[in-house]
Amino acid sequence: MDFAPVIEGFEVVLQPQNFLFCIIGVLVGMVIGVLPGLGPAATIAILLPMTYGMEPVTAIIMLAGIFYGAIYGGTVTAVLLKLPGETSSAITALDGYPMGQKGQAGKALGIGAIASFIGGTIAIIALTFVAPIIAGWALRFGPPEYAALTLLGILLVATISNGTMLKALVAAALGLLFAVVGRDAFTGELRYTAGNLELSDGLQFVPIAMGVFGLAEILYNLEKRHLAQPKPIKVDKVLPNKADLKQSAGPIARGGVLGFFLGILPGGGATVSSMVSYGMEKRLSKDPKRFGKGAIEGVAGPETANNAAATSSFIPLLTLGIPANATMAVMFGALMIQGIAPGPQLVDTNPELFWGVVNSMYIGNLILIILAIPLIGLFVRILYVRSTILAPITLLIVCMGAFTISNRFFEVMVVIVFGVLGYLMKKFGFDPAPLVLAFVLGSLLEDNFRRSLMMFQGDVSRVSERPITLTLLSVFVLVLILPLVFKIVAHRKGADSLLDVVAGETTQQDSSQENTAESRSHHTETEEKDTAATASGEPQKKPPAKPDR
Amino acid sequence: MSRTREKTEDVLSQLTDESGSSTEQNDALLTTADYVPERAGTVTNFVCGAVVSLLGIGALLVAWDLGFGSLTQPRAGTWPGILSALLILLGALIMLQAKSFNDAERLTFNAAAVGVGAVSLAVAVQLMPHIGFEIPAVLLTVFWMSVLGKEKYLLSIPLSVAAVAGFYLIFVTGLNVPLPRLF
Repeated sequence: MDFAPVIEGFEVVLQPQNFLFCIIGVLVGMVIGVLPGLGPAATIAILLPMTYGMEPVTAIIMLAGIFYGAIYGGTVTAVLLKLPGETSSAITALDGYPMGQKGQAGKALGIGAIASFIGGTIAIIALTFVAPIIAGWALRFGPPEYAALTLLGILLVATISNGTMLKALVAAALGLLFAVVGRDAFTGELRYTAGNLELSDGLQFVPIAMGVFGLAEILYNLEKRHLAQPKPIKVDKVLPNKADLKQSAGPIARGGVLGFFLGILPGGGATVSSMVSYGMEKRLSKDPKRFGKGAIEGVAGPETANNAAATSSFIPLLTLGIPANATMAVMFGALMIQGIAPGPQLVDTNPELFWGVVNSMYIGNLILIILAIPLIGLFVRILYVRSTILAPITLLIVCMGAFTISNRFFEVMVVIVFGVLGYLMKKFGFDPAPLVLAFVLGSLLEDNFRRSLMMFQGDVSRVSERPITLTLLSVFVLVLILPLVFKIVAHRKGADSLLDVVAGETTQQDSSQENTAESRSHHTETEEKDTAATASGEPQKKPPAKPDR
Repeated sequence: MSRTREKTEDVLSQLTDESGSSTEQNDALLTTADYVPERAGTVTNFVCGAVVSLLGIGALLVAWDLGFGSLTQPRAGTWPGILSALLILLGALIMLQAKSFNDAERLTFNAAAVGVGAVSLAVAVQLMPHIGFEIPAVLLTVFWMSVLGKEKYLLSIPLSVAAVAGFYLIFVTGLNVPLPRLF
């Protein structure tokens, strides 16, 4: 492996201006990322327009900063509010929040930052060596292989998305259909434009992502505006000590390796890897009863795993040009705006950009660890600001940002339309992530599908001449059928997997929600008597589920 | 120096102290972290499936117009035709299994605020090209903070003006974004 481009990449990334933008990226990413409900995909989508007009390398390094800042923002809300920014941080809340209740929030956030840093670094180092190999292998891919791979990627995302697979597949099909809007690349005909000239170039990715992830979340939270905002747990200044670090070393090492491998899989295994890591640590622990009650390993392992997975999910994006999850779909859009087409050719044709992207991750991750711990107090302060104040300001950021895409209000209207669509999807159980991912991959899939048909002269059986395509399509069929088989087997037996350990933990926590809420309100009452803000001293209740049948 | 600090503390306490907000009056016992939305039932899921199928039928008609082509000679409507058929099929499956879903949320009166919020946003955006972005942006944030969010006008008006002034400085003065403006 030739290391000269890697080192040159570092020289570019380490220029003072780029370094400064990375710091800004981490800060802004964390500030927006700590807003409850806004996960990394939403945060990056909202902040994407900030990178317009920048030099590609500067923009990429800032994006890397936003990426890591946004991920850590989710950890902060998981520990302090039990409101994870995304599903992968939900596992962190299982032990992070109880740690906070025991007066160890600083320790939980500190170990979270250290674990995230180590997980990210392990994955970036592995990515540095693995990515060029996969890219070289992927160069042999033709249209049928790409069509099959894209199809498999979309299906996997739909399979592991939140909610039912059927509804996720609807979201994916809608995303593919939205990608059709505009001029047909083969015949030049206008499709699904309803005579609107502004749609002739098709729908752009950024307003869709901003709408479906950003605005939809703001609208969804509007429904909860009549509820009190949870008070974040008080953060002490206790950071992890030597004993904590020693206790966390094993979980961090295992989580890093596990996260890296699971993250490469299409579908982006950040959530799965954090769940598996939690299950594994609980099984390996001498005293598994501590888990769910504030075990530091329950934060260290999953945090390392989800950060390693988040980073290694860059591999399919950079080497195959296929985003593995919603966050990567937004990053894909961001890179495309900078004129960087991720794919197997990138490492050969544009090594400085390829290594710029990879090296910016080292820097983003490093700056995160430098900034995260000292600035925890600031983020806690933001969490105290009511969402009725923050939401309208974030709304303005979305509007201004959407306008800057093409300096016209048409994009802002697209954001609003997709914001309402995203809200309705979330409301009715359709995960919007497959829609965005399928939209990004839509034209790639259609182009390669049509090219393949022409290549095979309409004879689909000629797929058998292409072993890679055949394998990918077989996996596709397996992914479709296996969940049904597992469902039947699990129904008959009652499996006991690592994931079930976590599931059990979640259920246990849910069932003790009343007690937790009671103790929390008691905690709030005793701690904040003088503020007399929300401490009511009464147990909180959940509304009963009432089907509208 | 100390006066500035006092002022800052005062502003911060206004932003963070919930006593001035009516949120306390409404549902002080329940926080957003504990909120579990009411689940919708079979009818809602059935309607969802029907809407998906109808969308598929609409898209299929357009694809038909574009020409389905054939496997040897795919045309502009081939791919959208396949997707439309998939949507019709998935919609029908959702309708058939409507009883088994428990992931849809019930549309309650609270959802009305979402509609009002989205419409107010669309109106403000439509006004911006005509009267500049400043006034619609201030009105929009005040509306969201005080009408939808029940914050005091004494807080929402200065905050909105300050936020819009900040955006003016960043986007118009700093980044030279050609936003239509009044000033």
